[in-house]
Amino acid sequence: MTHASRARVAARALCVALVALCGAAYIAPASAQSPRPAPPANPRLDSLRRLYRVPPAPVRPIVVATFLGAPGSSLGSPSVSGVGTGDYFVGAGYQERTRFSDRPDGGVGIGAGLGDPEAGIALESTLSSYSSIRHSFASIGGFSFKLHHRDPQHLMLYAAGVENAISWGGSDAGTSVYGMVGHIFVLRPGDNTSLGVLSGSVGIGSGRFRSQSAVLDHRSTVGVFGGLGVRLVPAVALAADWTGQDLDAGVTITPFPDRGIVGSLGFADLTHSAGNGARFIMSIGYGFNARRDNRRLSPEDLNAVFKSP
Amino acid sequence: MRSSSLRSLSLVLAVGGVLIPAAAAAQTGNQSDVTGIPITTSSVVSPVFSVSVGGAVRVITFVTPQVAQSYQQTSARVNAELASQTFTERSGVRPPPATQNLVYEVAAGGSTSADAANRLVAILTSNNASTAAITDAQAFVESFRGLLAKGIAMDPRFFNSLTATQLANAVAAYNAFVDSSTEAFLAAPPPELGTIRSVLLQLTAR
Repeated sequence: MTHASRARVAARALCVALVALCGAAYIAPASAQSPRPAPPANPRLDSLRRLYRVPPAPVRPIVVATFLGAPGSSLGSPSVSGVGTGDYFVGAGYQERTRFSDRPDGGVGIGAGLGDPEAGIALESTLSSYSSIRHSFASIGGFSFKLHHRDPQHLMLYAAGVENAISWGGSDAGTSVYGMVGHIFVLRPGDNTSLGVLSGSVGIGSGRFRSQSAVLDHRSTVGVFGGLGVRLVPAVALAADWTGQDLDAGVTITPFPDRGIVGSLGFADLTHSAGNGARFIMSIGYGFNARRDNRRLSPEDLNAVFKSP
Repeated sequence: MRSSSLRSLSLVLAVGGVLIPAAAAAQTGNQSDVTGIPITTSSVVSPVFSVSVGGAVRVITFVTPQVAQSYQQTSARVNAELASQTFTERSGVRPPPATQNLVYEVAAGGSTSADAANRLVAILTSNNASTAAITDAQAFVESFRGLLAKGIAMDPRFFNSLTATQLANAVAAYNAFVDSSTEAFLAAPPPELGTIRSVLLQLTAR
């Protein structure tokens, strides 16, 4: 087994332990073959051939993916996917009113990743500012962390995190620890197929993932949360998400697939189980990878690729 | 940061800037900080960093965009030097004008390249007429034909897979030809072999 394979297996094992939800085990592919050298020719001829040979061309094989991110399966819960090294994001969230009030609320989050979530585990760190107008930016806020791993081969996602591990300024969010697992179901192949991809995630967590009664009674229990997202068309997905306290549902829009802009809007507390009825919520975010190779296949290349056997 | 990234970021900040002033300051006592769409994780952009469910194809490309750019510049320079018979090998030797012109005609891939390719094959196999050498010479010259023109026409926005593949094929075919050539041929090669080798060395430099 290669070093990379061992790292991958260890990462998955750690994720499974952290999440403590899924017993899925993997058998990591490991294969390595070394070419057998040809027997030497006569020394003078061999020397001449070495003299005239040229080094290999500076090229490499790559897999060019027609990137189409699976739809998100969360609106009120954390996402099971996350960012890795070179990935950055910024987003703003808005609630038309908060629970038991008629006052709107909003905040901003910025985050970055460290590590390769597909080769092992990546750490996502997010700074959230819950203050906006009357208090200066980030005067009320928190730091959240999430370890996550994704397995493109099996379309599995794993995450474990601490929301508001550090908070300040009188935030009412509290600290929540959670673990979750997600899976992408390709219902119908094809990039432009409507209702072709379904995302699902489920998790357990403390803090805000407990039921509202558990929160009000200060009971130290854990709650279950999870969601489903289905892509309607490449740019639009529907999502429904049980946060542990209430059901949120809405749409997620990615208007420019190559730009990393995502907008979401929907309603929280459709079940009237946390607060006093449905509330309009929305967000907008932008994510990008600073190290991304922005080259793409030319029409001529694509033509050759799809004509070749 | 690229301009498209800046435009995207500006759009998000502008919309966020409209949303946030519309909201009141943070409230307390009703978990208001975490009862909307989470800003504590990348949930707000989760489709961007999730598993890709798009299609995938395996292609060949230059190892980096910088290498591709260098290859394009070298192609243009070598093409111009061969065209004006001013090409100089790394050893300092300047090949005969007729040799440079023949190599140029093949590598530039113009209307006379087919005839030039036949003449080049004939030269490479004149004292080297084994079946393998002839086959390999034909394969090499075919992959070498138009190589410089393709390099010059590259577009840095793309992977230029056809160009990279042709270069890889030309180098592999050239080395196969060298490996199937006779000792007598390699001990006293025609100037075309040295010129081709020098052109390929310059094109494959990283």
